[in-house]
Amino acid sequence: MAEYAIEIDGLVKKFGDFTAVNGISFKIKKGEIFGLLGPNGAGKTTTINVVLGLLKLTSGKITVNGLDIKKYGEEIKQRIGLMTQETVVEGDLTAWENLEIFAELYHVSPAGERNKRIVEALKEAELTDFAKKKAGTFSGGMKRRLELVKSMIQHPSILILDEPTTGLDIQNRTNMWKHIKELNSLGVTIILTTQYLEEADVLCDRIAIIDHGKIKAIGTVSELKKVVGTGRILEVIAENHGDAAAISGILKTHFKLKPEIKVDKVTAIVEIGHEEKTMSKLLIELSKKRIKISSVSMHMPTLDDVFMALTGASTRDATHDDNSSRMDSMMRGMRGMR
Amino acid sequence: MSLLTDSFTLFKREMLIFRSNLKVNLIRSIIFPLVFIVFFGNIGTSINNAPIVVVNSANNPQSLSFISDLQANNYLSISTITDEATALGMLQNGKIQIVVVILPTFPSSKQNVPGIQVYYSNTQQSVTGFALPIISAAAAKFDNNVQSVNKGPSASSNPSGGQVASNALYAANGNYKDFLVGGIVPMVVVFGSLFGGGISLISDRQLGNLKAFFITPINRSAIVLSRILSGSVVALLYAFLALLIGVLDGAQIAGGFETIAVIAIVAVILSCGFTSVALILASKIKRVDAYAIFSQVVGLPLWFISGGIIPVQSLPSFLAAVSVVDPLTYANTIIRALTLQGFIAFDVLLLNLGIISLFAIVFIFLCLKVFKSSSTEE
Ligand SMILES: Nc1ncnc2c1ncn2[C@@H]1O[C@H](COP(=O)(O)OP(=O)(O)OP(=O)(O)O)[C@@H](O)[C@H]1O
Ligand SMILES: [Mg+2]
Repeated sequence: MAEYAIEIDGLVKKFGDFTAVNGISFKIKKGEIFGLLGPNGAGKTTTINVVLGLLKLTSGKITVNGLDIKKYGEEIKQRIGLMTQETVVEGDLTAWENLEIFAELYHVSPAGERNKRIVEALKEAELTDFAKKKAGTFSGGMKRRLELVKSMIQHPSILILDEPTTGLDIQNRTNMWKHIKELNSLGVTIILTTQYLEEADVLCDRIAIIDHGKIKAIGTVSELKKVVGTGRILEVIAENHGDAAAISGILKTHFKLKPEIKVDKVTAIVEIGHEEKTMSKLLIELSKKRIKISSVSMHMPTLDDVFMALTGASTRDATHDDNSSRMDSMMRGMRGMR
Repeated sequence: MSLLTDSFTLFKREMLIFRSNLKVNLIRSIIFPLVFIVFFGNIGTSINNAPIVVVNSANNPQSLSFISDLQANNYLSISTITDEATALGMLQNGKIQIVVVILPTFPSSKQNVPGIQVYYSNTQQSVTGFALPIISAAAAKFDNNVQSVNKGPSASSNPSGGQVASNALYAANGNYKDFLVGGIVPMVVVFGSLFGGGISLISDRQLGNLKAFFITPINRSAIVLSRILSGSVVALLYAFLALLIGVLDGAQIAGGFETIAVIAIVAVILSCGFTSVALILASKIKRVDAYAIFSQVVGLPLWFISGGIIPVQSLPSFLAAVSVVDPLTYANTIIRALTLQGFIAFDVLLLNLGIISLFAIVFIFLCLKVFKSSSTEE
């Protein structure tokens, strides 16, 4: 038995001249929850599509359970479940029918076994009472739950979740996290992509931070937090954007820190033990120079800080463009026409 | 083996989705036949008493029997004169639409020696479209080769012949509505297949369903086969509804069960071909709106030149030439013969079925090939 669920070695994927994935390598251990964290367009979905054989790789090598995807594409498909970034339950079909179609496409047989799995899946998704209702009438959270159990109907050993909680409310999100952890505790290796640091923090054993098709860092959450040092993070937000540079200047000259500016936000790492002194001296300096600030704080490093340090962008700035979802609703209107 | 079961699973999905949108689908499918049959069918010219002049140059018992056969037909008004030049003059003046000259060679059984020469003008297309098949069918009783010469603005010559049982011929009621109802069948089949097959594929790609299928261990061909299968079932339903609307509106369909059975076969073959065309187009065109326009651009001309609403004989010659490569022309030949005459010679049926089957097989094959090599990449 191979030790790794997935091994990616020097993966490059080009679309014409554009390189979406630029030589990434990592190994995912069996039984772990592995996070691919990165902003929009980082190459997360592309990487997943290549692993699933939906896209041909430009160069590099990928093995799943020790099997080369180029040679064992069909065997591998049976072993991997995917929940795509866009929810793709069929709105015109009932929850039961949605599951049944995929149970059949994954060749789950005989019919008795299929039915058993569908009943189980519905229960797991808390949709037993909605089995005969059309999925199109479901709320976003219900659809997402249906999709999660749908992607597990063939009982795969690896489950890939592409942004599983994007667009869900807090309650559904925590619920989804619970489900993912449960699945993992049953021995399923999970790979998830996310733009939410909190999600990666809560769920993942290990994380790879990916940006512009390259891996910026890889490790456990605590390993990654060390990237920003052992100190505390000082964060000052100026009331006027123009003052950010002045604040940064004070931190440089008076405190010998290495501040980073992001629009109106200035951050710097402060050594442990110096937090309070730095804070009070800074406030005095600022009032002397008559610089108005809207907030100042000192906190333990979070993944957000790691992310900012590595990619130069906060994930909160990463916004989804709404075009795709508008397109979706238009498509849904037309789709039943056959 | 799994290709069949996978295809069936996806077929089931297509049909469930179809059923789920039954109302919209049915309304969409009957609106065209309804407009065409009820509206155009009822304003079309009736060809009762189409004025025809017969010039009998043979003057033998067979030719007299042929003339009385023509006279027995309610929809033709036959007068005989002896001078061919006078008859052609009347044709030129527009007093009549058709001149039938029974040549001294009548009855002729030789392929290149016509027994009858037909001159017609294109001024009243529905008249010639009707009368010509009736005349050639009547002539076929004498195993004759008919040569028809178009004296209208655009000349075309369509020799036709064959053994046609004359009795069945008279069962047909010759009005435009009867003519139209047959032509509506290929239309609903083609537009149903082009629209349904293409839009469902594009929307499945846009919504990610195609990706979801591609990551399952199914044979990719199942995606194509299931859609061809479901397209055929839907096309059959649409064809049946179109005929039903026609009949309810008073159109007469000659022949009985055999007519319906052959029409069903033609509908299925056409649908297989055109669903494949739709899938090939839809795998190239990514946008629903662009596809919807493009499918009309493909479908409408094919339908117009196939003799669907006006007889091919009445088309300008360059379009008549194009209609030779239009599979719908052959479908219409079969369906027209059946709905108007209730009869089609077996060899003619076989030839025309063969041609549309060839069209379907070629495009199914192309479609499977396109899907084998396609990925989800743009
Ligand atoms: N089929 C394609 N053809 C051309 N370019 C593509 C294609 N698919 C993706 N790209 C480009 O590759 C880059 C990576 O896209 P990808 O979808 O992998 O990003 P992502 O990390 O999943 O982002 P998101 O968080 O928005 O889902 C983007 O710049 C995208 O525009
Ligand atoms: Mg993505």
